[in-house]
Amino acid sequence: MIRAEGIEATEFPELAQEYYVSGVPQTVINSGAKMVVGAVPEQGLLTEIKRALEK
Amino acid sequence: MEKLLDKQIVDQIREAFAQLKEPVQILFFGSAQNCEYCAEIQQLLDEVVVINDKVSLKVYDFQADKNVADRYHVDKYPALVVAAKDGEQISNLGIQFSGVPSGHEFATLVNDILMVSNRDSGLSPAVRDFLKNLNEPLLLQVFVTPT
Repeated sequence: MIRAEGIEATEFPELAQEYYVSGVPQTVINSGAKMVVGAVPEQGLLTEIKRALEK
Repeated sequence: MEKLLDKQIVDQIREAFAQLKEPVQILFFGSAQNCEYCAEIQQLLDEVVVINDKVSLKVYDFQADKNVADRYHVDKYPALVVAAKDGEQISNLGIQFSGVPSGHEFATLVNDILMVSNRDSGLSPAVRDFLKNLNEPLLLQVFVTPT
């Protein structure tokens, strides 16, 4: 149900481009439902996940 | 062949791996064709798993073993999955890394192994509660660079 994938952006440039990755880390939730640029604390990521799921 | 991990790093990993509890299965998906870093990643993983026998490695070909890749939702290569192992049973926890796990990401890999071995995500009770009650798929893709 829950999957977490670390992606080396320079090795998958097309995918990085698809999500407009300009800085790292960038977290893409459910294939673009929500994006989080930079490192965020656990609670912050949870908030973004909830927003992504509301869409 | 020259080692990718020097003695100092190996010693550090050995010390960290002293805390391993349960077995961990790493699954590597590579290819003999069109894969610049596959051989390097496989060698790196070989050097990691030899450090502690609670960690083992299975190597798959992304094309030839497509059924295995599909089962683990691996849609690109090179990629590795860090799974829990109990006897012959391998449990997919949904943890994957795509690309070369070098630099900072090597530390992430070592931490993932420790986390899976302890069978504990380390997440807060509030986050655990939310995720436990989640009834739709959630995919988190974290883009990183090696430095």
